[in-house]
Parts: sequence; structure tokens; C-alpha cells
Amino acid sequence: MKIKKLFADKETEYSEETKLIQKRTDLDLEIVVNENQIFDYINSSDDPIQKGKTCLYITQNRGAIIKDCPGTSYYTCCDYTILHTGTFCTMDCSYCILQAYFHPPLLRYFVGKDKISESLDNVFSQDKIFRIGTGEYTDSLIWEEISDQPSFLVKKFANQNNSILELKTKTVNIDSLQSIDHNEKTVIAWSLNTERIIKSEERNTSSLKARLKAAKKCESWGYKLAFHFDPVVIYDGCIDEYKKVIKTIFDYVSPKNILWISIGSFRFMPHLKPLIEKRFPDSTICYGEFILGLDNKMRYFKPLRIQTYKGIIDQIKKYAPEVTAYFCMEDRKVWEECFGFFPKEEGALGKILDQSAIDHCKLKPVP
Amino acid sequence: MFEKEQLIDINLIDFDNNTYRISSDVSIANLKKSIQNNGMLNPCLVRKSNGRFIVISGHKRIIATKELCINQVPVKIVIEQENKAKTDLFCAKLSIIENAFSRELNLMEQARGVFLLSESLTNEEIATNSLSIFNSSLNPNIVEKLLKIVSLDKPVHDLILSKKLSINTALKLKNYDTQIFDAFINIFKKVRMGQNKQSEIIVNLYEIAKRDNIPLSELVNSKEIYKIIDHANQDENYKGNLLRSYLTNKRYPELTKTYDDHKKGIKDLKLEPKIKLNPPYNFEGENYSLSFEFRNKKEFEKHIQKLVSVYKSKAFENLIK
Repeated sequence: MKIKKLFADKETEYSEETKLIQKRTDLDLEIVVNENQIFDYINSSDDPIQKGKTCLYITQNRGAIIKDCPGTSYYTCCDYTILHTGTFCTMDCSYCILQAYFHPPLLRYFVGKDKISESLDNVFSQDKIFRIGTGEYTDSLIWEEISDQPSFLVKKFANQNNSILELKTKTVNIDSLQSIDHNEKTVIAWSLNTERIIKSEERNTSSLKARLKAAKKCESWGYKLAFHFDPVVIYDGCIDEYKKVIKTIFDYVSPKNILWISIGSFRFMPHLKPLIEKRFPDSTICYGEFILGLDNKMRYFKPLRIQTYKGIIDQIKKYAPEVTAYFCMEDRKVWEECFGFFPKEEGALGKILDQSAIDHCKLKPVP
Repeated sequence: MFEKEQLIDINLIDFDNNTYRISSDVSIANLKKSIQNNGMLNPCLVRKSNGRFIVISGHKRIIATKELCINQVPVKIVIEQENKAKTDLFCAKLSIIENAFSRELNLMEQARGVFLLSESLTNEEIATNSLSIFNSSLNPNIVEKLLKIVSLDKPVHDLILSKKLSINTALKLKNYDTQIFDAFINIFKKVRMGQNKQSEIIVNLYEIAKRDNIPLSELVNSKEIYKIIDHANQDENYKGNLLRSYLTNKRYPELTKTYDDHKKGIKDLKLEPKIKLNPPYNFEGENYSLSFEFRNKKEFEKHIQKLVSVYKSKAFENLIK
């Protein structure tokens, strides 16, 4: 998906970051006094979501730059930290919650490296391990094509020893990361799925092979890696297909460079369903056996989740027994049946992942 | 507004023009007897058109008169105004008011009335004036829905009137092509259920077809569904429940099986009807719930004893494992 329209605030008009984006997109910059002007422009389209993917608004982050990942009380969260550098995505996945999360959804790039730097310095000065990612409200590396934000962050993280930066993506936009002295503090992570799901549900994303080739390149540049099977989509034959993906990962990269592999099944707020049905009429992703979970999101009926997870975990154990695998937002029973244990105490899962970060990224253990 | 009441030749009535006819078909046998014995008590309302008359109100009386071979009929003729649109609106209002203030209009009559007015008024204007025209309050949303159902076929209107099909369901079905639409109508003709259950049937059939990549027309016309809805000796409500259960099972096979197994497990415990043991919601959480009713200490004690024996049983262990 190509950005076709560029908007900016008056305050951001002359920033170096804006100039770079304008140069790389080769678009005229339209200055807006009020962001409602952009919302009106987007909302006038038959498909505002699609429109929002082609309009980039260069603005400032007026909220928190660093925030905790919003977990829920019943399901176990990994205590991740979000670095909020932009919103939305140029790719178009049917299941993407961002379609329903922003009103209206709009690509936003937050200028202000100074503010980001300041917020990160505050994190870096603490006696605590942080796993920080930019891939919660956007794809981390869509920005690599039009800005120097990813490389700025990689360099910033290189000069500290209590945090890792996770750049999560479905792209292969890695070129600018090649010659950076990252000091092993950046993890490049790919969301993976079966070829069938990538083809049917992940519009404009890179193919599985392309993602793994990019991972291999990053590995050769000394980066640590992570993979996320999220959303796992359940369909006839899916277990064998997920197993095949896992086997393929290790045709490309070594388990010793993988910090973690996360697994989470497709879950969605009920109001996402009509959006998917409208925007992706050929998709059948909403027609699995979903029940309303205890976080008020639709999720697969638990025995089906367990059965699918077991297949995936068996394969990870077969090819990479030493790699840390974990569930994103699952409960005690699922953990115990699939992994044989449950990180029961608050923060226990986070500590497991912190340890993997310490082991792989030369972080200084917390005293 | 009107010329003075007069008798006109019945042959001057344009029986093919039903522009202002909003009332549903009913038998006119009694009306004929009444006219035969008592004459027509109130004149019909008509308007002139190309040397003939279009009936605005009194369609059944005029047909009864014709069938009784009476040659003349008492009418009041609307005076045509210079602005034709004004007369059109006036006549449309008259045709509704004449009916609405003498009896309650049914949904299809309201729909036809709304359709008549929609030539001259917006949905909001119809809603605003509904009390004085329809003798009941219609909001713009209802007006819009009524307008949409007018174009549906008579069998659908009949189903709506017999309360076997809700307006919302009819409107949902409108999105499907004729073959599928007719198949759904055939289903709802033969089973009885409320609007929410009808929606459930439509959604489940649609989602099963999408999931299994089979044409919806094939699924709604499948022999399994016909077997349920065409069963001669079964009550329509019962057939409705059977159909729902069949489709829920097909749409959610694992969940249904788990609930069925749980029910069987509960049965094995042989609990008193007053003791209720419920599984975790959707089997997602971990908490079972137990409740019981008792009238007195003795009954309370009996339940406790039963629960203690259940607690020790293998059946209970199997149930909650």
C-alpha cells in the first residue's frame, strides 16, 4: 500500500523528520490546523479504513510515549512495554484489531526524537529489565522506508544495558539496519503464519519465505530474533501447516539466536466481525468456533486452542527445545496442558522473558 | 375539499387502479349482507381521473356493491386543487386516516400508507405527522423499514402479518438473491420462532456455508433441513427448536458436544431437580456454580447429604476433571 497523501501539523512542518518523510514519499505536504480536517477527508471515503492506510499524518505524540501493554485480569500477560511512535499500518490484515481500535484509523507518525530519547533515558536509568516494542499500535518497520526512526531507535538502545528493543514486523524493510552498531540490544521479530493465512488474510504483507530470508539476513548482521505466531488461526489441517512453518524457520535461522516464540490464537472484539465481513468478503476467519472470553473478546473454544497449541509446541520443542516459547493472553489450564506449568505469580511470565533477554542480549541482570 | 355527496354509476369506477388501497384482503361476505340489508351508511371517497373515478377509501364497500349488482354508489368526490401534488398528498392522507381512525392498522397497511405518503413527504415528516395520520407514533427508523418491506412479495407480507416473520428478518433476507430468499421464506413458513431465533438461523446458515465453502442456496435447500421443516406431525415451535439445535450443532460442533457431554455427566449424578450444577461459562473460565432451593431444614439436610455423596462419586470426578 502506497502513501498517497501527507498531512502535518503546523508545529511539525519544519522538523527534520518531516522533511525526510516528505523527501522519501515525494508528496506535497498539506498543513492542517485541526486533525478533524483529516478525519473528514478519510470519513468521506466508502472505506475509511483503506483510506486511512494511504494518508500519513505527521504529528506529535501528545500522550504517553512509553506505556505498559494493556493486559486483562484473567489471561496471563507478558508485561511488555510499548514505545508509542506511530499508529496504524500500510499493510491490510483482515484480523487486525487496529481497524476497529482507532476512530477513524489513520497512519500517524510521531515526530520528536528528543522526547523519545528523554523518555527512554528515564527507562534506561532504572534497575529493571525492560522489553520494549514499537509494534503494538503499528508495524515497527513500515516506517523504515520513509523515515530513519527504526535506525534511530536501534542506535539509542545500543548504548544501555537494561532494555531490549523489539521491532515487530511483517515486512522485509531491514536494509537500513545493516550497518548499525546495535550492540545486540535490538531484536527483530516477525509475525508468522501459515502460507494459507498469509495469502488469504494478510494483504500487502511479505511472503513467509521473504520474512524468513530477512530474518536470516538480520541474524547474519548479529541481530537477535523473535517470532510471533499470533494470531494462530484454526482450520482443517492447520496444525500440520503450522508445524511446517516452524520447521521452515530453522531452515533459515539458528535457535540460539531466537529470544522467544510467542503463540496466541485469533481473538477479537465482537464489533470487529462486521468490519471484517465488509472489508474482506472472502475471508472465513470469523467463522471458527468462537466463544465470548472472560475479557469480552471472542476467542476459540478452549479445547480447540489447546489441541492446536499442543501441535505447535511439540514442533518447537522438536526443533528448538532451548527456545523460550510462551502464550500471549492465555489462562492457567491452557498453560498447564500445553507447557506442563503455569507462570502463576504476577510478573512470572515477564521474568522468564526477561531472563531470555538477559541471556541473549548481554543485559545487566537486576541486582 | 369535497363536492357534495352524490350517487355515481358504479361502472365509472376504475377498479384496476388501486393507488389508494392500503387495507389487507379480508372476506367481504358480512359486509355484503350488511349493505344488502341496511344500504351503504357512509359514502366512499373518490377522486376524478380521466373521466372516471379512483377509489380513495371504501374499496371493499364498492366491491361488495358491485357483487350485489347495485348500479349506483354514494360517494364524496375530492375537489382537485391547482397544485396536483397537494391533491395527491391530501388523497393519500385520506386513504390512511379513513382506516386508521376506525381500527388499528396492521403492519402491512402501515407500510402501504407510508409508501403512499413517501411520494410527497420525507421519512422525518411522515414520522412527525404519524399520530395525526396513522393514529399511532412511528419513528423515522420504523418508517424507513416499512418502506423497505412494501416491495416484498405478498407471501412475505402474509408471513409478516401472521407474525411468523419479523420485519427485521424480512429486511435481512432482502439482501439475498431470490432463490435463497424463497428458501428462507419456506423455512419460516413452516417453523415458528421469534425474531432473535430467526436471526440466529440466518446467521448460522450463512456462516456454515461460508466456512464450508458451499453455496448458501444448497445449504438452505438441503435435505436435512427439509426433513426437519417438512415433518408432518410436528408442532411448528418444536420444529423450530429442532432446526436451531441442528444448525447450532453444525456451526459449533465441539462446543455442542462438550455441552452435551456435560448434560450427560450431570444426569449421571442423579441430582434432585432443585439442585443446579452449572459449568464454567462457555467452558472458558474455571468456576462451576452450584445452587439449590430448599423449603426447610429437613430439605436442606437432604440436599447436603446428596451433595456429599455426589462429591465422593466417580461420576462427579469425571464431570469436573
